Order: sequence, then C-alpha cells, then structure tokens
Amino acid sequence: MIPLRNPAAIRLGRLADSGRTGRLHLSGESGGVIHLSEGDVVYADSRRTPDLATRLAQAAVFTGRDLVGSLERSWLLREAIVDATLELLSAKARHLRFRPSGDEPGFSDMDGMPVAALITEVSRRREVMHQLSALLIPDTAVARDPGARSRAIHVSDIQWAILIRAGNPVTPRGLALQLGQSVFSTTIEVFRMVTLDLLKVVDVPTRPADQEGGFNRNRPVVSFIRALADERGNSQLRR
Amino acid sequence: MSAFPVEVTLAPVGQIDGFVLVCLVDASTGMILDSLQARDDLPLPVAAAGAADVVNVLSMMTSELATDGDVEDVIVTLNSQYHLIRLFRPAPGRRLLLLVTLERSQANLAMAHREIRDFLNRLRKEQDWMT
Repeated sequence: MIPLRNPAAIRLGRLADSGRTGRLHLSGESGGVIHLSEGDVVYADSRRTPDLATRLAQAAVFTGRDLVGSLERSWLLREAIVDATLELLSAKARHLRFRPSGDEPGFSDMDGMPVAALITEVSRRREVMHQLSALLIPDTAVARDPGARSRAIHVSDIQWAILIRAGNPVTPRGLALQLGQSVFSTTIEVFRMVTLDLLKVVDVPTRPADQEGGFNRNRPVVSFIRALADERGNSQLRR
Repeated sequence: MSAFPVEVTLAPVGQIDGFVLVCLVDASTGMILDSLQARDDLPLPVAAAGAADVVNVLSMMTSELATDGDVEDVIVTLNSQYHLIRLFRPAPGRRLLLLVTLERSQANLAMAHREIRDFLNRLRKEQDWMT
C-alpha cells in the first residue's frame, strides 16, 4: 500500500484538494512529472515507464492504424498515467516542486483522473507487485528457459513478443520499454511465463532437464483478489 | 460510474433483464476501465478482481493444454445470481473483459448471453477492433 506518510502522495493530495493546475516534478533517477488540471491528473511521465507517444507508436505498429481519438488512445493514456504514477510513488523522490500553469496542453480533450482514485489504484498495484516480488521485480533479469522440457503450449501474442526478445537476459522493464507496454502488466506476464517455465530468472539455477516441468506448484501465484484483501488488511493495520 | 470513465457507453448492458452490475476490466492489470451498477453498495472492485483472476487462471490452463485460441466467455451460476464474463481483444497485446452480473430470478441467461455478445460485436464494428 502507499504509506500514509509518502511525501509525494501527500503533496498530490493537497494539490488535488485545492484544485491546482500545473506540474508536480519529482526528482531523482526514478523521477518524473505529474500533470494536473483543476486538481485532477491528466498525465504522468516517469523515466522508467514508456511514455504515451511510445505506447501509441507501438500500438500503431501492431495494428497498422492510427489510434488518435479512439477508445484505445483513451485506455493507453489511462494506463500510462497509472503505470508512471506507480513508479513515481514507489521511489523516494529527493525533491518535489510544483510549477503552476494556466493549462496543460495536449490533454484537454481527455477527462482527468481524480487523485484519490488514482492513489487507490496505485496502492492496489503495489499489493500485486508485492506478490510478484517473491519471484521477481520489474528489474529482475530473465531469459528463455533452456532447461524447459519440450512440450506443446499455446502462447498469446504478448507472450510470443516477450519470448523472442528474451534470448539474452532482459528485465520486465526493458521488455515493457521495447514493446511500449505497461511495466506493471509486463512484469505480471513475465511472472506467469516464469511459472509456466517459458522463462527463467537468470540468477536462479535451472531445474535439470530430466525433471518434469510445467506449472510449478511451489511458486507463488498472482491474484488480484488477494491484492485487495491484503490492501484492506494493511489499511486496518495502519489505523 | 468508475472513477476512470472512458468513452464506452455501458448503458445498453444496463437494460438487460435482471441487471445488477457491469464492468469493463483490463484483464492484464485488473484495472476497472468503466462500470455501471444498479446499486451503490455493490462490491465492484472485488467482482472485477475476481473476474480477472478467473480469466487469467483459465488462460493459463488453456495455454498448458495447448488448445487453439483463448477463453471466450465464462458463466458462473450462483443461487441468486449469474456472473457472465466475456473476454475480448481490441488490439494485439490488449485483453479486456466485460463482467455482467444478473439477478437469476429476473434474468434469461440465453438472452443475456446473446445481448452481451451483440453489444460487444457492435462495439467491435464501431471501433474496428481485432476480435
């Protein structure tokens, strides 16, 4: 969950309450900018997540068509905001600076996200990330599993895209930036692929080839419902 | 309405007999993209998270079984409710689901299943989605 004393979250909440328009700059290697318009977040940019332009460009490559003005642009914008905010509120910003402005151009046609709802979603994702952390985080190196037993398996388009890029060690974050996908969803997908023995965490010994592979019962499983329960439990502990 | 309303209008789904709630969920992240509900006291986040978990577990199952294609829909029958989950892919790498909950005493399951499918087909044509 987002700690109640997270300075960036507190500052964001205050800016939302006062209906401010402008940019909240968060410094540091994991820094970025959160854009507000009348107290709602209209965009967020992090150095460690794909920006909206990258997401739109990659999506256009996949589909061969322009997404501007479509529902998909709206969804991609939402995901870009939440993905970046998760990164920004998870890191320790050394310095916060708010620069007011008259408007935030480029996003005037999109509805802003209420800060409270954004932080709730970010908190939920942090609980999911906590589940994944038993096995990997966005910066854990993974690669195709050379010890995986030969078997027929159906992979999705995104899993295929990940597999062909994982011949050499790569991180979920690196894959997300290459694919223009959410760092959060890519990390979850990589987690599942490790569970399916399609990928392996680079520094963890591979199981011998003569051992049966497939779904490993000893590995953790990611659950969105469990993330909600954990978030509620942690909220009660904080009171 | 979700705090993150997008341009999809879910109102036609709200007209299905026995309607309780509908939510559009990104199956990859579990995030609710939009929602509509008959009452404000419904546990929407739990329903959405559960639906995403169900779809993702079934997708892993079909992956291991090496079946051709992915999950299309899931119907869960409880004593008093139906939960219909319809998965769709507007673009490569995007997996969304529509969760519709209906009061069993008022709903016609076959009709509802068809209305949900027709709703998504209309949306697919309007938006020129993949599947």
